[in-house]
Amino acid sequence: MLEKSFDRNAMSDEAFRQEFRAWLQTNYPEEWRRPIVLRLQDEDERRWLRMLHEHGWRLPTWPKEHGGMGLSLAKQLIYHEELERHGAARALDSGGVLLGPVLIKYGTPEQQARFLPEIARGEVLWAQGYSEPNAGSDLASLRTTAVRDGDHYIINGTKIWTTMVMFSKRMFLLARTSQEQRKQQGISFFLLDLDSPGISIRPIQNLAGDTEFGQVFFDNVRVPAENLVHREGQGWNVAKALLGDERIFTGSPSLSQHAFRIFERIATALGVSDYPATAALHASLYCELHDLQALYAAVSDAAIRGTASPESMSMLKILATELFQRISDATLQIAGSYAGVWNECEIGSQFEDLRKVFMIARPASIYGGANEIQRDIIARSILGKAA
Amino acid sequence: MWRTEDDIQRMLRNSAEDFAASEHSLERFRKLRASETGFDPDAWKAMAQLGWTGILLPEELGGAGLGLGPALTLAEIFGRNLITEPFVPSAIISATILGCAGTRGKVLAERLIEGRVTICPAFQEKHDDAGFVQPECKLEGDSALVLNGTKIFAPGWVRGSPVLLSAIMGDQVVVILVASGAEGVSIVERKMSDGTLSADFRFSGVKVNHDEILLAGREAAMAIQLALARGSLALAAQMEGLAKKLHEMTVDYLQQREQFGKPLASFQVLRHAIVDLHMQIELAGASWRHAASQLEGGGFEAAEGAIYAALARCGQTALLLGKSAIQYHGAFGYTEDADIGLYSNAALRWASQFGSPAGQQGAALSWYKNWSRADA
Repeated sequence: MLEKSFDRNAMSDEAFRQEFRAWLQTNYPEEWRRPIVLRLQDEDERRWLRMLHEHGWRLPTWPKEHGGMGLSLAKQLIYHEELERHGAARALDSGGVLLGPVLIKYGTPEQQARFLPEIARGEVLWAQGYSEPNAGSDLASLRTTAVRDGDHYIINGTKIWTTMVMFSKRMFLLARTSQEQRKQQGISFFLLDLDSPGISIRPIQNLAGDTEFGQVFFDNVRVPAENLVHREGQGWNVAKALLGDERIFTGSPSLSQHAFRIFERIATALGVSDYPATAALHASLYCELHDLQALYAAVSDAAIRGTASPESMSMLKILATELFQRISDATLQIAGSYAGVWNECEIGSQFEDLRKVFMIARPASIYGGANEIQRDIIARSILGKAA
Repeated sequence: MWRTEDDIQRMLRNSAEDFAASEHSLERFRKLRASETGFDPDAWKAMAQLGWTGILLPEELGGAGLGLGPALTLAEIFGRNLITEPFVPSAIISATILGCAGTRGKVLAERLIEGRVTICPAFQEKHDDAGFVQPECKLEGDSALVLNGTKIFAPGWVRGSPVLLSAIMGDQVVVILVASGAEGVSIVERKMSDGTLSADFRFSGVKVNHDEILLAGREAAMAIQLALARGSLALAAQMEGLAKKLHEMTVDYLQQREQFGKPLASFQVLRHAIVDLHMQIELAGASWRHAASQLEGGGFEAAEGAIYAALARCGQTALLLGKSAIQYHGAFGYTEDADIGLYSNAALRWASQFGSPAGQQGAALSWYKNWSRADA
């Protein structure tokens, strides 16, 4: 398998694209090709990660010595493009996407040996414990505490909006180990088992109707001290390890593209394509999508050259998520009374769940750093700090 | 950070910026705008000496033969500085036609390269088209050819200039060269909001010699497409330049102006507005660059949709920055003294020169529908 992935990185970009495309065509389960409305969870997610692992397609960003593909950014972009093109369902893979790079950078050899292989094999799903009820955009205000007690830390507090926590075996979290002048200091990064005594989980249903996230309560939960990542008090910097070029994927136009196709299907199915208002909306959305794709491609090229600015990642995130929202809104505008149907229903010859698409588009501008926070980041680069 | 340029483009950018700093100023622009002709022949000659009027013309005709990318770099800088000499009409659109015409256009090409002439491209016939459509002007007769019809809003009109125009002869499109002083040509000049003149031409029984037909048939149609495609991209680049300059001017103002005891740049509502404008400019820059690479790589048919999208985006962005700059400069922005008004006014002309953004979006969509149908 390692040999195979080695070959893939040495391949030409085009050959790589063709091979991954062919593999998806042969192996990707047809029932999962619902790119917006479906996010794989629990056993489905593990099954998908295992499939990738078994065929040498797992973990494009991880270096080969840790079981990844060690792909160039150019090939990573192709990898994502092909998944999007195939209409693959979303998969969170917090362990592979979020935790892995952190452990590779900051983990001890023991932590790496213990946690990375099981992630690579797709056996263990992880949850990200960052947000708290009073620490959302202002994450550094988090209040969950970790107090050293011999060989352990004792964790108390709560984490919320923890995606897929009910299906995850472990969690990485930020907790406060000391009170310092700057609130970003005194935060530490821990790994823990979600079946530890003292943990309780309350699932939360979202507006799209899915129960994907939840709240986690920690009541004197004991975490072995060896599960601290990097040094005590360095958690903020550890978490920031993920603020590089990999953020470009949150700015991918793919959800907008899929939503645009739904808009077109609905317009055709309802026979409203030629209404002047629909045609004008259609033309404007087409150009929005076209230009976003052009900008995404240009910034991707810059990222491959190593010259993309962090602000350009924030910009793409804003543009991609807000366009996704605009297109899903527009689809409701042309759908007449179908816009108010609760579940999937037949429109023309298609089955669509327009309400769900609309609702799934809502949190895109909230998670991963709310778009208002992203605007603050870009503003700082243009105008300097606010006085 | 994502915008890239090659060595030639960097070199041209530097010399164009030097030119803008030493030979040009917004004061000069104000004088030109107030003048009757809106044109400064000395500046045009100076641009010719730098090789810019022949930038696109092939070396066989004495031009620099530099290709589209460098020409677009210049257009962007002319846009940011309001250098309104007829670079896009003459050195991009007309020069492309001359380049396609080969030896038939040689004499005129040489004069263009030397800066002794500007050439007015007259393709537009309706109030909101760029001239891509089939012309209605007619060239008729066997040995004695006669031209009838009208062209409107021809850009970069300079009195006495020769005129390049499209017409139908039989079932063929032709591009012909007409002296603006020829018998049967009547001209209505319009002062445009960027200070330049446009011309409406009426041709009534204008005699045309066979050697004034520069291109005919498929060659003519393709030359017109290429010329207008390049002109569209140059206009789009010019509008990005204008929008960026307005953005910078507004950012400077917000940093300097204090209210409620702190700089306006401290207020989040303004900070976010500046970011939103910035993102539009980034989309505009990516859109025309993408269209340019489509045109260079795949020709007009592959690039048409992207060109319309770029015109729409850059036009909307220039207009948006024009309006926003006025708002964020407050009452100062609504004065004739404020330089931003020069830009806001120029944006009105440039964003409507090749049709309106709404129409261009529609054209982009039509292209996409045909293209995906042909693709399927």
